[in-house]
Amino acid sequence: MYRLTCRPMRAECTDEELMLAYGRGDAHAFEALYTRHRGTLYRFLLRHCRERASADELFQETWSRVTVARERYRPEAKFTTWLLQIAHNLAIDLMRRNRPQAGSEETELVFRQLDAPETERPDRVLSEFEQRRRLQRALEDLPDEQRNAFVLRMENGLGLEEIAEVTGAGQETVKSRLRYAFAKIRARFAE
Amino acid sequence: MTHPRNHHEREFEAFLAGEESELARLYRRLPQSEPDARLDAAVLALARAAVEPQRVNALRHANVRHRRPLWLVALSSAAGVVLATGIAWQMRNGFNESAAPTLQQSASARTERDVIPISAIVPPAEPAAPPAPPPEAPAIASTTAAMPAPPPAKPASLKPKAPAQRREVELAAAIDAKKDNSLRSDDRVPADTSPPERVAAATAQPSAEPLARAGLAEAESTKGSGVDKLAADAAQPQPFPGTAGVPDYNSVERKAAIASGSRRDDYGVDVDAASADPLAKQEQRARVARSASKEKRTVEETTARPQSASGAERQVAPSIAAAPPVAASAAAPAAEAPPANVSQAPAHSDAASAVGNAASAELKRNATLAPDEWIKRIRELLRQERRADALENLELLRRKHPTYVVPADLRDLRDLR
Repeated sequence: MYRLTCRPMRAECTDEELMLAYGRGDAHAFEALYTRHRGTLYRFLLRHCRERASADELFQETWSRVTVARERYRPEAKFTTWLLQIAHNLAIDLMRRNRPQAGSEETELVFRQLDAPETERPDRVLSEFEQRRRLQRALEDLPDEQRNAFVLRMENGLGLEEIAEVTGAGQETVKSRLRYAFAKIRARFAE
Repeated sequence: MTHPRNHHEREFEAFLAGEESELARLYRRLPQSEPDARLDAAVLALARAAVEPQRVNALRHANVRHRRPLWLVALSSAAGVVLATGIAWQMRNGFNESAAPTLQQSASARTERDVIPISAIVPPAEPAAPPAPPPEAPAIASTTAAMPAPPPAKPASLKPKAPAQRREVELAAAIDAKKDNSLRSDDRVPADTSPPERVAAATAQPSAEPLARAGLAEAESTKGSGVDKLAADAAQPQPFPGTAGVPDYNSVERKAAIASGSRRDDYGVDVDAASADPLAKQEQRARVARSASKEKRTVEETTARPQSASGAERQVAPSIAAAPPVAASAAAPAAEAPPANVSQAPAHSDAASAVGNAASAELKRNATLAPDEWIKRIRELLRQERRADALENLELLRRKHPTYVVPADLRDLRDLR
């Protein structure tokens, strides 16, 4: 059972308790909750949108949805999952408005690269800066579903079940998307 | 040699299990982008604005629950003031309307409650009275008026009176009785007197009781002679306290002398010695007549004085009566005046005393009236130019009804006295 208030030890309160407190009008609970998740959410959106302006817009819109839905929040779901689900839905909507989804041909190309032999893969040691740049570009080149799944796994540490809940897909589908994303990134490092 | 696909699969499994890998380490080194301060402020402001009405409502609800509204306090205060004013107004009106009658009733009730009505026990002057009391009875009667009547004296202690002397005394008594009846005809106590009047009469009764007892003793000693009328007259309750309070000392002495059998007249002349000579007998008759008229005048003078006194003085008349009468001492030189003056003086004094008795009777009647009626009577007296009587009535009214509010015009009359 969740405590009704979490003011005395706000740092020790769970996300759900803080959200419930904010649902009762405690603005300080929201501040604590925002401090905890502002970076991960923003990065998730930034990875998702690839544009800072879109990420800022989605970030503000995500928190606005949280504030509007504060009284309807029920702690059955994990707050992080609920928050990322909102952000993901908004990002999907934005991407659907901006550009079309990656086609199946692109996905086949990524799998082919992953299945390439090690001799065909670049073996030179890249500098750390070059590695981060390549990873950055690899993430940007990933399809949205795969990138979302990869970011949710790497950035937010979600498991297959949680990623499936956020994205609204099945666990096997999430696992497949993660597999493809992982293969494409490895292929980019091999270049 | 491991298959590259199996190698990637193991790495992928490690990735799914969250194991530390080169990719994870490299991902954490990516730029940790965060929202800028403007975005943070906008989000926080949005969040606060979303909950502000809710917080205001919560605070308002708490205030309504814990604080009493001001309009309720003001309304309660106003209601309290109106209630207090109404009560004070009602009490004031009620006091003005019923203060005088209530206080008057309470005063009369207190008078009736505190004063025990005593009716004077006056033994009737029977023709065949028992033997006369002993010679010391009048003295006892004059000092202890309230004491019960002394036991009848022994007949052997009384001396028989001569017939001539009896006739003279009877003549004098008849003259006295005639004058008393003519002057006091208006002063009879009404049969239906109110309790306070009965109280006054009863209070004044002890002063008349010595006379009554003296007359009774004389009547008993003379056994149905003409002196019985004098005794009966003296035994009658005095109608007015002032009159009743003044003892007729000449009569007392005479009656005491008669009762004692010394047979001396008012002037110390031995009756027995005077009755021996016919000339002396005639002179004695004239003296008796003069003394009778003088005695009456003296009584009237002493009566007129207490009439001008206040009611309270009349109520304490018995104590005054116990003092030596000035009028009696003043009447003694007058008795020595020439007979011509004596013959004119009774007529004048009789008229004055008649007016005084009438005024006292009227005062007594007015005392039985209600205060308002009494005030009307006082105003009538003022219209009749009887200012002294009006003042006397007014003062008696104030003493009898101390709580009665005297009208302003009569209050001025009282002050101008």
